[in-house]
Amino acid sequence: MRGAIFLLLSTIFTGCHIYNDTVVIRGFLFSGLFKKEVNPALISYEGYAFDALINGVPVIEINNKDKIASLKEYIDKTSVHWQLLKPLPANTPIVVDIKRKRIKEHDIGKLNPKSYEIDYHPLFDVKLDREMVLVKNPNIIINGKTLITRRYIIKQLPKGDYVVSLTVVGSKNWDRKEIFVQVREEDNVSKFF
Amino acid sequence: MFQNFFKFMISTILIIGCSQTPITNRVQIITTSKAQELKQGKNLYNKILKRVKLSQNKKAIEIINRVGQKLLKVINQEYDTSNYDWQFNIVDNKWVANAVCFPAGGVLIYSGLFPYIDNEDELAVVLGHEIAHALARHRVESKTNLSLSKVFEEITKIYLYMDKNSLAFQKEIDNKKAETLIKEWINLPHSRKQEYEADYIGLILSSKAGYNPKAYLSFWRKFAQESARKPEFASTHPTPKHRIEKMEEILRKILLDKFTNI
Repeated sequence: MRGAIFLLLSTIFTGCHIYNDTVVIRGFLFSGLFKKEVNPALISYEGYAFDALINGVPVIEINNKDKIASLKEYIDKTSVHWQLLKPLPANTPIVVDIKRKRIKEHDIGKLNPKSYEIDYHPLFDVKLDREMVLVKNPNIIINGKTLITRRYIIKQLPKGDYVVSLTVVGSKNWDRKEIFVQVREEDNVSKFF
Repeated sequence: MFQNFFKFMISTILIIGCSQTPITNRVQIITTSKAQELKQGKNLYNKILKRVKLSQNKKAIEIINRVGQKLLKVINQEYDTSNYDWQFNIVDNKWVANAVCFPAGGVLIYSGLFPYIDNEDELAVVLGHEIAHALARHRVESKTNLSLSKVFEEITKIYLYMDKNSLAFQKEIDNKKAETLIKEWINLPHSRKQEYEADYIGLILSSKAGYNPKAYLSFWRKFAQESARKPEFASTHPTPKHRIEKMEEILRKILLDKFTNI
């Protein structure tokens, strides 16, 4: 019995040794073993630099190429690859939270959670109520003075569909997200907590 | 001599370490005693509570405790959990969409999960799943599984070291390959099996407590929208898509049984 076990083990080890020496076979086996099969219809989102929440609702990926293509018909400026998890209630103040992704720290640098720019593109015909404010732009200095620019702020959104451009500026670089946002009447928005 | 020792080891593990999961009745090997598990779980939970910021949202705390108590009522009808110290707390962190349950019954829900929950039925799905992990002693089972898989890992490393021609850096690479191999072939599939089991137990518990079992599907469909970033075999959790498929199958069977019994 013991002899048979030793014979079996030695056969396995000899076989493994031959296999180990055969670099080509070994490379082939390991490459096959660790090959990650990902559905080609899905889009890879590994390179983005920040996460965002709008009124506490997470911004998530659009994993549907048809939806991306249909949004492109409305907005030809750029592709929309992000969406809000659920609709926002109409005519409520918009609050954005951003957080840098840890793995992208060396690319985008430090992030001031309040230094973001937001732009709204309604997908329907509507005139948005805008409020003009003067904002200091610390990145541009003319004659030793910081440039002051006009910025239009939209605090509330009426019912409808929008694409929201969210641009975040870090100490080293910047990044942007185009987000598909649905705004609905408060009664039609589920809010449990 | 070797054979006797081997038989002795196997029988010792089987006698001391065998237990059964509730509801699914799966036999599991656990080398940690129940008392030790509960003590460690309580200590760990108390440590974590000191480190995290707890939410003061009274409405949410009230809802979570209400749903949790309903589920516990169902559990206490069939199982003795008097040694457990069941607690439901909310961690104030909107960036984390997760929930955990420690072995002694301490449940933590992160506020980042709230946007995914739209009603009490969906909350019962989450709490049922987490309670199931504690009931089925998954954490200590994983610990035992990890120790056993370490043995296989060392054997694989010994074999890889036998190649005298390979260079030192190649050996390091081989070591890492052995670790990944064991992780992806033994540890991760086992972890995913536990997740499916917790889903099933959670579903049964929440249904018995009077919650709609179909909430499981609506909850995971929200998660499925942002999944598929990582292939399932490299993950501790099954993808939401697979969870939904499996649960649809179970729901169909449960509903069919219900109607045929009538």
